[in-house]
Amino acid sequence: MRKTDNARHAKLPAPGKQSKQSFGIRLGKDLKRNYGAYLLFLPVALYYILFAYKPMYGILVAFKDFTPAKGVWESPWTSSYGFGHFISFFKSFYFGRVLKNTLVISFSTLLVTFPAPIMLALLLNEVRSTKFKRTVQTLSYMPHFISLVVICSMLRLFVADSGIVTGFLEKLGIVDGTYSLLSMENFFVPIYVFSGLWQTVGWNAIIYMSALSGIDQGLYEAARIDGAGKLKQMWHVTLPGLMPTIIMLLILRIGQIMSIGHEKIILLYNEEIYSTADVISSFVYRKGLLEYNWGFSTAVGLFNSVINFMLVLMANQISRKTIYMGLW
Amino acid sequence: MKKEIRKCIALCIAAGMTAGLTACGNGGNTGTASSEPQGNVAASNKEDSSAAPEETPAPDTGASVTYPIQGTEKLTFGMALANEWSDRFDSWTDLPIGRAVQEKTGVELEMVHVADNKAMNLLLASPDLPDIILFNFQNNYSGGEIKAIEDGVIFPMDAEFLQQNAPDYWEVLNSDENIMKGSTNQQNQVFGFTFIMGDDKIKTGYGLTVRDDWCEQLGLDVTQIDTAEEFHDMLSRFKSELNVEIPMTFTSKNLEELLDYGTITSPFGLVTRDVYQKDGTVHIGYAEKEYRDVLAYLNQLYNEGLLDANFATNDAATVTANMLSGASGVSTGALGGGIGTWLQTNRDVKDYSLAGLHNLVANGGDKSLYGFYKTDVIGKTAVITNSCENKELAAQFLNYGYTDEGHMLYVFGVEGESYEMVNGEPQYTEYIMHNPDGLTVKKAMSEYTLSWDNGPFVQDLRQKLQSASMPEQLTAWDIWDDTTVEEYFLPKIAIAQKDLAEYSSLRSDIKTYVNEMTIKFVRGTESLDHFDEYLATLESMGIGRLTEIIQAATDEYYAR
Amino acid sequence: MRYKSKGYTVFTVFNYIFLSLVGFACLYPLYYVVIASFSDPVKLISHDGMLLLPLKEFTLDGYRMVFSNRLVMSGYRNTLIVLFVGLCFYMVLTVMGAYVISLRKLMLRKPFTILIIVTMYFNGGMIPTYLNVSDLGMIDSLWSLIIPGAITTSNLLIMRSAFMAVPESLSEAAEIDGAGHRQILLQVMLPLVKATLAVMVLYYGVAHWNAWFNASIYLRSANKFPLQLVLRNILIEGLNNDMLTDVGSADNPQAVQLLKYSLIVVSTLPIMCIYPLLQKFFEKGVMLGAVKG
Repeated sequence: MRKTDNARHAKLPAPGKQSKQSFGIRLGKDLKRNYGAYLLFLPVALYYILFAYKPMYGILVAFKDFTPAKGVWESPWTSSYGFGHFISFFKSFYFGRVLKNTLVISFSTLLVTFPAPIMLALLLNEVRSTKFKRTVQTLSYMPHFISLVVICSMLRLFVADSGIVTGFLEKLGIVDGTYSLLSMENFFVPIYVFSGLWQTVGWNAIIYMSALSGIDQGLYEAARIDGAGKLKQMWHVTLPGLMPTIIMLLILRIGQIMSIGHEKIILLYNEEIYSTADVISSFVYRKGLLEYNWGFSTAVGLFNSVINFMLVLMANQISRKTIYMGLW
Repeated sequence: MKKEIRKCIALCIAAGMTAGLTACGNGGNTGTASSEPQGNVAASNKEDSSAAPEETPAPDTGASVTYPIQGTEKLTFGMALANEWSDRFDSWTDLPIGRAVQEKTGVELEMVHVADNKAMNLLLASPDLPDIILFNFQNNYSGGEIKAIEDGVIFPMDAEFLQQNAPDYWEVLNSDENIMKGSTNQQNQVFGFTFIMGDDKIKTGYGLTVRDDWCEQLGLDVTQIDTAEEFHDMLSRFKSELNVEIPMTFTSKNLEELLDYGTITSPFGLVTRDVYQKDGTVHIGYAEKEYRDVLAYLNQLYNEGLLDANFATNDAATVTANMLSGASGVSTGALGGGIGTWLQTNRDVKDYSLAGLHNLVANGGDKSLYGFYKTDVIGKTAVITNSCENKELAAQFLNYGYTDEGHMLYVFGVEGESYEMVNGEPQYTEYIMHNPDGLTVKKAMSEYTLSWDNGPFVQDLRQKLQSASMPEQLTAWDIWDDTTVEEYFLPKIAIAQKDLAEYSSLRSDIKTYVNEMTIKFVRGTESLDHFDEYLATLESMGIGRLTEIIQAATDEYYAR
Repeated sequence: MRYKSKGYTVFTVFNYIFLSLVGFACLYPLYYVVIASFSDPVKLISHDGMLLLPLKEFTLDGYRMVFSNRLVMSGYRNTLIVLFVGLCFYMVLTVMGAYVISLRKLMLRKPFTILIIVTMYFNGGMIPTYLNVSDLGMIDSLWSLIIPGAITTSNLLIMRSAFMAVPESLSEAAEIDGAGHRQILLQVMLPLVKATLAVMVLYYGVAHWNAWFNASIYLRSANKFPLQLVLRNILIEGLNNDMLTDVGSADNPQAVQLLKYSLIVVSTLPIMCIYPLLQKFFEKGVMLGAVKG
């Protein structure tokens, strides 16, 4: 991750001289000087060309009345100059609702599940006993491994009319305990978000644990000599050490705002709480995938991708302008 | 080819006539009147189709196929792997059924197995397709078989081609108008070798199931309970006298079934919540005002605590557990998956018996207006693809399932192994019914037959009768079957290609709305005072247009 | 040398209690699955609240069913083959790609990075990807599970940021000593990013252990299916009860439930063991100062 623009320029040998030469000449020199690096990149580039860019013509499916047998090129363009699927999505009775639900669920999830692993990693970092630390860490990532179907069937038990979560809320006087929480519109988002937290917090903490291990111990020493307490060390040494990882993951996460998978939604929701639970992906699943309507589902996917990509560009730009860090 | 014994299909009078006509045919000129224009349409539609008769290696025997077919040619056969046997066999041709089919027809098969329906869709996108594909296009290919013909996947067959290469299939097609129409597109081209219901009874087999022993305890005669009031009283007495926690348990999907199959709608004058036709006019049940009364009834049951309070969030496993553990006394389900499975699982439990309950009706003893029903042609179809180089051979191979011998093989398997003739009737052996390795009936059948699934043959009532062998099942089946569903049932219509996108979009949105509102009305989270607003919303969502599209397709079907 | 304030002691106590609770909450689902795999399945469904002990009758039937399925064993084999061959592949490609786009002085670094990031958002979709794999002749081959998904772009970016965190002075020093890119990568960089390499092994390993979708579209023979696809097919079979193929009676619903939990235990435990093996790489103690000096 690049520290600052200034730092970068300082590292480049004689930037002034270079800018006078044409791009081609500079590139030629760069290729010559760093041919070793370009050679290393060759297989990676090949991979991306072959498996990412070569099939990319498939995006056209979004604009076509696609059937597998005719293929991408032969399938006819859909109505409205190829925008038929998009128009049918935007004009759908439920477009507003699924868009709103997607955003609400996405932002709530981001708000709760993004900071939690960082905190878990920081707390684990303060544990002296290696044994305890390892045990908690090992336990905390376990839910990540249990298949979604099972996680969801357990969740349904917990929030059923006689489930433990419902019982707890009943004691607090929030619900009356006759019905499953999943039959109430207001509870879907909290259930989705907090179960997501439970599933991912330990697993997502791993990357921060590894980043923590990379922080120069000398910095702590120096801080201690300066008289910094534990809290100050965390604030002035640990957090800045984690910052590049945090920012990168945050930008990547912002680029997933529109993509909530349909699997978990479908396993948890029911018709009665569609008003808060139905999201774009579950809507497309019912509408497009079940009927093998490739064009429609590709169009919605493309719509999501474009928004996600724009969000990433924006987040990256803001991050670069304010804290001089970014994906590129 | 032998034709002494007729197949068990119930509708063969016409077939005999056409058989006579086609047997002496030496070209394409002797088809029935209705089939005459087919050839022309087919030819003008697909220039590259090799349906032209001159390419046909005309068999010496005229228009009949002799098995085993001479020659050593191979066919490739695309089929999804079935979990029922893939844990024991690598390929369908390793199964007794696969080996027997190859031996009897003299055609060597090379299987192309894919993992599931999605993978089959992808296979269809590849340039080189297997010669034959067995696939449920109706449910898993956008636009169904008819679109697949337009897309150039399926080789459409005309009368001439079938008379030449699949005379037995052609005979079955001509035996019934609905079978013919269910297997053809709007241009009367036959799209494949279809799975055909051989008896009206096979088309039924779904309904309410009730704890018989509890009714007996309360002095109720299950066979007499068929009105909405009696049903209500029974549930109330389960609750008050037997202290049953959840008198009736079900899932939201079950509720859709109860309404769409008209199991509980008749007392209120509603045929079904689903689409139906009356004298050729299309109606949509959920948009009719009678639907309000059905919902009011369910809402009343719900408020009295007779229905599962959490049906909206239940899954099928919960319903099963409720029915097995005695937490509930009434549920709903299919002949095998519901009552059959529950009885089988609890067969060693004392004081446990189940019975089928008649669909609810307005006046005791009536037939219900509607019930669960299937179209004559349904499920998977074996199609010949345009990649096939020897389409005639493929047709001759697929024709086998409609011959008497082939019928027995696909339905019952191999004599002496999977069935035996007892008093002139085939009986599944112990290997199938009580498998020594503990295989379920379905799994054991999957080794020897295709009748556990779908395929290119006519399904046999005897297969269903023997597999649903428990007396309670058979009684339930008769009780559930007491309907006038044929009058209202919408045949296998084909939505016009130009309307397809609009149709699926309208239907999906409207269905979402209807399901959502139905649960709210039943649970009372939405007051039934708002029913008129519900109807108005349906109107604004385009229910009129939806009806119009279905009506057009229905008109086309009857006019075809 | 370590001084402890009172506040810190209080914090430590609460920290231990809190983390124990987190640990317990996260252990429960696995514990539940293990217990359920030994329990009477009908009782299990009607059981409310926490499940702490197996519900009677204690049974091993689930495991018996799992291990009598020949596809489970071949599934294990296939998954392990894909995992071991694949991991070498993924790691080498990811490290090479990440190293190159971490080089600040490289002129094409930015376009490369952007072109790679674009692929996270835009792809050709299932059908062109399938045709591509088909054209390469990988249908029904285990290579189709290894090669097409060899690089996960987000992993590449994580790896890159680890390289970028290494002070440039180190590689510059090596360069002055006459080291090429290959030596710098192997001798200077890799030892310093061991923790991230461990994360990569974990991320790729777990993702490929759990993967089933590519197998379901590229493979044609059941005996080549990886474990997760076998598992999924068995789970779905339990749910598959459509009216069209309604035969006699379905599988014993109890057996299906048991099988489900036993299968999850059998397919989950092995991959869970990978983490404790990698854990030592996450212990702190990297002393960049020492290397620098």
